[in-house]
Amino acid sequence: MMDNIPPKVQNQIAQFQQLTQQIQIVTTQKIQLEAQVRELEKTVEELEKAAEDAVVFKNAGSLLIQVKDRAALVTELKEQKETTEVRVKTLDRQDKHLRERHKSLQDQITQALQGPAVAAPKPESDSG
Amino acid sequence: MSPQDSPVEQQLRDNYVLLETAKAQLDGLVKQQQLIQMAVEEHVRARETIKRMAASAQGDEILVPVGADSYVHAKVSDNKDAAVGVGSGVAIRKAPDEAEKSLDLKIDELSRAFKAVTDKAAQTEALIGELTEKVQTQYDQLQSDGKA
Repeated sequence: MMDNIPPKVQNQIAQFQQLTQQIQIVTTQKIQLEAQVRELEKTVEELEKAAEDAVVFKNAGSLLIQVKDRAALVTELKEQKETTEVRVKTLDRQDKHLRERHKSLQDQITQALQGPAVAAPKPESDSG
Repeated sequence: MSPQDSPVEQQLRDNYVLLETAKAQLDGLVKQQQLIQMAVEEHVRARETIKRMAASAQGDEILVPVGADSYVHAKVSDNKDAAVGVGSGVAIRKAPDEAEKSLDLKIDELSRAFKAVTDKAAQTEALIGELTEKVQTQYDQLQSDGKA
């Protein structure tokens, strides 16, 4: 089936498949980071809601270690959230750029495959 | 993609792609359902453990799981408080009744999420049914026209 397709278009199809995979990877990363941002927001909210004298712990491997400075923990979590949000924005831009290239390649491939070179094989190769 | 394709062929191809997408979506939703269900069960187990621990007496002997279906001996202390996770690797110490309440809230949240996923899965299943019927009809039509 690929024999009828010119090498240039074959190359475009390969690029298109690569881009599809890249978009999937970026989308998955974005979903994970967005979930992380929501989790961090919720944690900060819970810490701010907790009583002044509430005892707070943080994971260290499979152990929980008591946090002495709660305010510092909240600051750390807020910074982590900001960093994650920046990463989400970067991925957003990357995603947009990849989708534009994906769309443009798709149009080029569709046009090339609907063009006369592919749709109607050359007479000499047709007559065999 | 060939310009010679009849409208029915084009529709069949489009519907087939939609059908495959819907099937993949349903698979994802079923996986989400399973994950949420597991999380609900885990939260219910934690709530029940805290409840039972609160009802136990100081010095009662218990076996604490250390993973791989293995347990070590321990004794109940006078401190019945629990540390409940609030996400991002942070936990807050809570009295047993407070811990139970907070776990109940999480169970409610998870149950709502489960319902939302179940509703979406039902809609997707209905769409799959519809598309399967369409694809079959269009395929039969092409076959009777001698094109399939």
